[in-house]
Amino acid sequence: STVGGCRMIYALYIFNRTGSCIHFSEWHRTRPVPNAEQRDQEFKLMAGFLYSLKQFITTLSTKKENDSLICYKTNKYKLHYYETATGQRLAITTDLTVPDMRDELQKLYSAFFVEYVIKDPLYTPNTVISNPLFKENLDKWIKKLPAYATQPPYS
Amino acid sequence: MVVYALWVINKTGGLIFDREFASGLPELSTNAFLKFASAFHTQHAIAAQLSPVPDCKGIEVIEAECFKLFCYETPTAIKFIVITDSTVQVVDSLLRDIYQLYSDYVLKNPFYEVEQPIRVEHWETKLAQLVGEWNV
Repeated sequence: STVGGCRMIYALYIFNRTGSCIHFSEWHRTRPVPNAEQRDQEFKLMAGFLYSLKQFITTLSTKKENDSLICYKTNKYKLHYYETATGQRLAITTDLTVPDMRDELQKLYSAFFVEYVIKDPLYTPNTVISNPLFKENLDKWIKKLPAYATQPPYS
Repeated sequence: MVVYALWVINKTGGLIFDREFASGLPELSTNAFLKFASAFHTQHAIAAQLSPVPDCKGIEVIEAECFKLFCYETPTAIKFIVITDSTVQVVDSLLRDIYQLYSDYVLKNPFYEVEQPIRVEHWETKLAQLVGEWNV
């Protein structure tokens, strides 16, 4: 049975400017766990999909390249999007009750990505993030957000 | 609150109707619209594939800075897509009314073949009236 009106954060994807996935975290997974290859396919699909949505929006908008995807909703989940000036793309999937997460994504970028990744002298730009501090601190912060529930909605 | 345009897409992703009701979108050729319809059709399906939870049906709303796009997919896989300005919150009733008009004036028209481009005068008149009420 589902817990009605329960807020939930499902997953976070970070892509670099060429579309490679440099970070992925997930919480409350309900679909079967994929193997590494399926995982890779999923990242490629998400990256391509976000890119095509971006093209779609810039063509339809009067602001052209200055317009950007804010979020999209389906009947079951919502995806919030934030692209930095350097081309890093952050996408977070949540349930439908979670309101706009742009501020959180901006915060995520400046407080964690910039601090633990960009400022890390051992990090090569555009590669997969391996700094455990990034993942741990990000995880702790996400779990403290009001949008994150501790009880999975599907049992 | 402005409704800029309506698109109707058939179950294979073909654009069967497009109408602009208010200016606010860039000038685009018919070809561009056909490409869009097909692109959206694919995106709608991919969003369902990428869902973190089961039973996802596809995109219902896209929010950009300058506009919003709302999609209603009927049980027969026809998609009604309405593009509005960014102040609009909800267009459920408009989409249902459009579907109603489609059922009454398009589907019940004996000369209309399903999945084909819609060229039915009554539908266009009624539609213009309906959207006119929204755009006041």
